[in-house]
Amino acid sequence: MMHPLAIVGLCFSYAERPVLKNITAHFPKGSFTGIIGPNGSGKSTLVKVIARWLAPASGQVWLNGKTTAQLSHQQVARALAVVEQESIHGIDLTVRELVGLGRLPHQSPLQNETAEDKAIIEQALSKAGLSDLQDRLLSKLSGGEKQRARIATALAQNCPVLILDEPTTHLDIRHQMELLTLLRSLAQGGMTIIAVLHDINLAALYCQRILVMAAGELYASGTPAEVLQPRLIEAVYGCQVSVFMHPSAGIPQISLIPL
Amino acid sequence: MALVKVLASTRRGRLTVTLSLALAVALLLGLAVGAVDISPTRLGHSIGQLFTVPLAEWDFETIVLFRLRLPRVILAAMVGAGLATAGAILQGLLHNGLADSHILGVSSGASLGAAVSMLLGLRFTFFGLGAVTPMAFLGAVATLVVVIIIARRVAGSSTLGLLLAGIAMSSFLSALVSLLVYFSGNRIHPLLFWLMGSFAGRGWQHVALASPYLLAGYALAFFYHRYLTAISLGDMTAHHLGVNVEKVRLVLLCSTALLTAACVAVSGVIGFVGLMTPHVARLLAGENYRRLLPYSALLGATFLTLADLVARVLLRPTELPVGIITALAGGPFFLYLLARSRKAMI
Repeated sequence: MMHPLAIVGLCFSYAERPVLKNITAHFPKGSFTGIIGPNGSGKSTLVKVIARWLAPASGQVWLNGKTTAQLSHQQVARALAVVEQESIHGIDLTVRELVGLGRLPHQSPLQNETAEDKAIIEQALSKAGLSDLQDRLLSKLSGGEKQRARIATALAQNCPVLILDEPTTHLDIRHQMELLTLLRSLAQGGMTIIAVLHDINLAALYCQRILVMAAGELYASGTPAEVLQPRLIEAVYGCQVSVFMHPSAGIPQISLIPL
Repeated sequence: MALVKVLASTRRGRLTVTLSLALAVALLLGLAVGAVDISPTRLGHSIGQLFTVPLAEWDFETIVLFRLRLPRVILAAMVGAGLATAGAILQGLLHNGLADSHILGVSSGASLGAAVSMLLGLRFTFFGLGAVTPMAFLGAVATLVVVIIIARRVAGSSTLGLLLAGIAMSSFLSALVSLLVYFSGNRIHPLLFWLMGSFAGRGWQHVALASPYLLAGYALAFFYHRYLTAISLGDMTAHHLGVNVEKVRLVLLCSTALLTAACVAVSGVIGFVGLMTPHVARLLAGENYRRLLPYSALLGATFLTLADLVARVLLRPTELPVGIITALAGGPFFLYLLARSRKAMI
């Protein structure tokens, strides 16, 4: 079966320094994958290479059976939506205007929004819980709302794959949970979701599969139970943890052992 | 009438009507006031004559109006719209509210191109005007390329890099123009006056000269207005939305060079219009370039028409270069933006 996203032998270097070393992975339809790893392990670079913002030194990114090198910018953006870590500049746009830009990959430059575009935008807003805020300026939104607006924009792209780089970073725990719940329900709806996450426990709670990156390599991948091993975490992060079972979810969680 | 009703029914529609009316009032004022004032009734009479009576039977005032004042007022409005549009594009493209053709040295580059062709043209051909705008365009493009390449090499703040590179290029190119003027002997006066930015003595041929460039520049920008909105959010964000950022940026930089070159070729270096008006337009319309482009153009046209009016009447019967008026208004505005942006960015 053809995967919505597969990466094969990806390598990338910043000025001679290798940042990604031969990364291979595939992402089945409807899966929710978390990518974890210490700072500087190449997680964000991996996202940028997959999204073709950076060109790989070697290897390919396959989107539904085609390498991104064969596709135009618009075609890539129809197959793959990305929510970056960096915040966006423009704050004098309304939520509706921002989410409307999600239709850009499907339109020619001067084309007006069709009825289909409008329906998809409405749907994206409602999935992200923003229908009531659509006329508000981005500058007037809270951190959690702003993040949801960006996810709604990505949803309006109507792509089979959604990649997010540390989407929970500036959110409090309730908003982190809401966001991950939203992503999980999107995956259940058939989207392929990949999120770079810092919080190992949250990744274990919400993702079906976790990829662990260390020093530019794919160090391990597997279910939360396979990845959350004290020895593995110590080897990758250099700190000691104990693993216990979540009391109600039956999923492994880690707890730091102070030095 | 149906159109008026539709327009008046939304906030944006009312804003469009208000801005258009403001421009119409500025244009009428510009027609009525000058070395000889024309009363409103005489103005109405003359405008009527333009359309109803053959040329040979026109009054003296109608001739003044049509031959001298109308092209000048229209040119001021066109140049104002062009500079404001160029500023709005540059501010979005470079994610920097302090960018405009004047600050980045693009106007100086265009003026160097224009000055070179004027001096050569006066010597070698009778076709001086024809070569001025293309040369100004080349000067503008070359300057933009140099400023952006240098700014990208400055680590850290892109604002700092852009402003410093722009200011350095601007001073350097202005010095080159001054040098040219200095060595050009008796052709000193017209060039000097042109350099300060003025609409004195401009006629229909200048309107005809600038129009195609301005139209092409504006059309290019409007064609890509959605991509420009996306790029103004950030280059990477635009890329993820399927925008070929490098290509669109190149096209839009050409568009700003076209706009700036046309403006400089017909009116010299007029600063601060492109800096100020997009900010006012942004306050009214937000960051959406579908509205920001036309609103900037309308506001820029109104502002420069009024500035030219002030330049004409302040020291009647002589007139000031309009560039002095815009700089007097714009300098403090620039300082205000700079002071505000320090708070917002750091």
